[in-house]
Amino acid sequence: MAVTTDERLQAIFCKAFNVEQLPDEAAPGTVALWDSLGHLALITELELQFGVKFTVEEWSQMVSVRAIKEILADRGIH
Amino acid sequence: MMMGRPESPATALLTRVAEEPTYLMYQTVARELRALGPQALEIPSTRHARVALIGTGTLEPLASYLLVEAAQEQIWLDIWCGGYNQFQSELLDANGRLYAFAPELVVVAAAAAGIVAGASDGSASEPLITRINELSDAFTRHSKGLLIWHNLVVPSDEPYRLDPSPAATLTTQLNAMLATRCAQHPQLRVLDLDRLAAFFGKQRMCDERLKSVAQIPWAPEFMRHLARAMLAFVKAYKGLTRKCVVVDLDNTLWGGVVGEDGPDALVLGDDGPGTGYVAFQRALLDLRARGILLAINSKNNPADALAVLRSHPGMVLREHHVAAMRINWQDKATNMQALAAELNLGLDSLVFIDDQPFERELMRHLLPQVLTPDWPTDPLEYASALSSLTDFERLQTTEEDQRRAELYAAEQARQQTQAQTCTLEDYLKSLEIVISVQRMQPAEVARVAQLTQKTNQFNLTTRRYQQRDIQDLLESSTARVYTLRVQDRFGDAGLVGVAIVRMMADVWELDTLLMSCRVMGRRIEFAFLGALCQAAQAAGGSVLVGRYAPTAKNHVVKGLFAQAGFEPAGQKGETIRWQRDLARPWPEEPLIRVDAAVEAIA
Repeated sequence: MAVTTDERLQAIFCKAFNVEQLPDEAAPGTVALWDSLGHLALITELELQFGVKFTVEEWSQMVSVRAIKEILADRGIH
Repeated sequence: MMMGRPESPATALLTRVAEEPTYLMYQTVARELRALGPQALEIPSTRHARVALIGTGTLEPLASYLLVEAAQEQIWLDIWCGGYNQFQSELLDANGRLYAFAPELVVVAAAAAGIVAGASDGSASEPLITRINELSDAFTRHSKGLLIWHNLVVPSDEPYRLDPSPAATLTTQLNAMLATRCAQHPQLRVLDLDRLAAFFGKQRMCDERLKSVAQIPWAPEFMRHLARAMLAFVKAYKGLTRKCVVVDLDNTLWGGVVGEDGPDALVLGDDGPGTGYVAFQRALLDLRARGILLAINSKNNPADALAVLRSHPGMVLREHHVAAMRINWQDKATNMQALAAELNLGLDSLVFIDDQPFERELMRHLLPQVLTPDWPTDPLEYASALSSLTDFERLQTTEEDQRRAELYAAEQARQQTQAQTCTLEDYLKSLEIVISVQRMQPAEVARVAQLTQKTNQFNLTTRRYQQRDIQDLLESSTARVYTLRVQDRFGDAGLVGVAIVRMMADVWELDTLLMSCRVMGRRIEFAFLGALCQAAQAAGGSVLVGRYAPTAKNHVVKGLFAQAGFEPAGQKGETIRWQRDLARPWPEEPLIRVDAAVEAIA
């Protein structure tokens, strides 16, 4: 069975923040390990896993799980 | 990954990061390793070091890479990161947090670049070097550790420019000045960031986004290389380096199987696919020129293999370059132990290179102390696989290092003589040994420090000293350092023994007594002790005290003091104290000539 984008995302969150399932509202600061350096580690992993390179502006817009999903969708990743 | 450990939660973390070496994984694994601590990886305290990272950028990500790369090689680092752009005040403040951390190594990351950028006149090299001098001087006043400056990356961002780039000219000059300065002091070293960046690719070494958002000066993949370069310093500083490369023959030193294909069919030469093997042989010879021994461990008919070593026109590496060999049909672990014994080296001084995964696994399993690196399948990658190891570095190359391979050739001649003479006495007599015991000279400080760090077997107390500690002893009025030099009719072994004595009134105490394993087993130790007794007596001493502190490796000297006529004088923990009344005459050592006048050494 194909792995969905959401499942891939949750696997990355799990690796980055050691959490089971992050809701759309989850954001930097609401998860223990999601601090500024954790955020960078998350972004570099997203870029690797999805084969995209975000702009610094997009980095700054990734303020929640929902925002990340929207930015990925803008890049054609649903 | 390399050490053949059983899988525990901590080693599972290391396997994960080796399989998936991403930025996220390094940060995650570093965090979890810190929480677990060194005991989870069973890393002994001899492989712990305290490292401070200071500099101009956000340094924590680099610290994670460093911690993980070290743990992969069974080294535990306590790492302290300085404040953002605080390195100048940290180096100057004797009572600040840097020195309170008591670092053994301090790496100033990208700091020269920070000073250049901060200079009001960006083109002034003199003020920059003055500043670096001031900071270095402060460091050597406040710390006994090692200060490692990153040099500057010569910019390459105008690749098609025809006239010399002023920025490139300036940084090249500054790097030369920095190198000169750091070569003058044993506590200062340069990490050649420019060369590392050129190797990696200067265009890729920085991720502009990470730099602008988080002030992380380096791209993630570059941080892995930078961590390995720092790890080379750690290993050199802690004496965790390897002394001998042991190679397989078929498909490792040459292409093909000589026993089956015959010497004429071997893939080896200056063009075509054989070039990889030639390049690998050249890289091995480069290591040999730096004092690393070469040895052979191969399943082959000795006659077939030796014929290639002696007369194949494509070979660059020849029989006389090899310090010891085992070419037979025994298992390679048994051969490895025999090689270690012949060369008088510990297994943890050896690196084993073999193209066969089976042989590598066997070695890791049976002799985990031997470093058995993963090895590429393409021979064109062999030379670079060898140079990616960080295990052969030294902070100081002494004359003895450069002559080591030659010294071992003399040793082989000696062993042949031993085979021809019947008794040990006859043999020793035939060697015509002359020893010289002298007070240490300033030029010998580096070698003496190196011996205290590297000598494991003939070492009574195994106290490790840095160059700075030994330097201090030159001027001490309560301690003396004596050096032992040995020569015989086959050659000059150089400075191979050290005694550090601490003097309390008429009691002379041997803080350190050590001898290189190269000269063990020739009764030289007794002549050395005799010379020390004479020196002590001449200087008014009446008792010579020695201690034996057992370690995993120094059993060979357990009985030394008893054999030398010392009386037991108490025990503390496992350490046994011995003493000898200097009024008792020292028995002559008739087979060894002591070439040092008492007046000269007292």
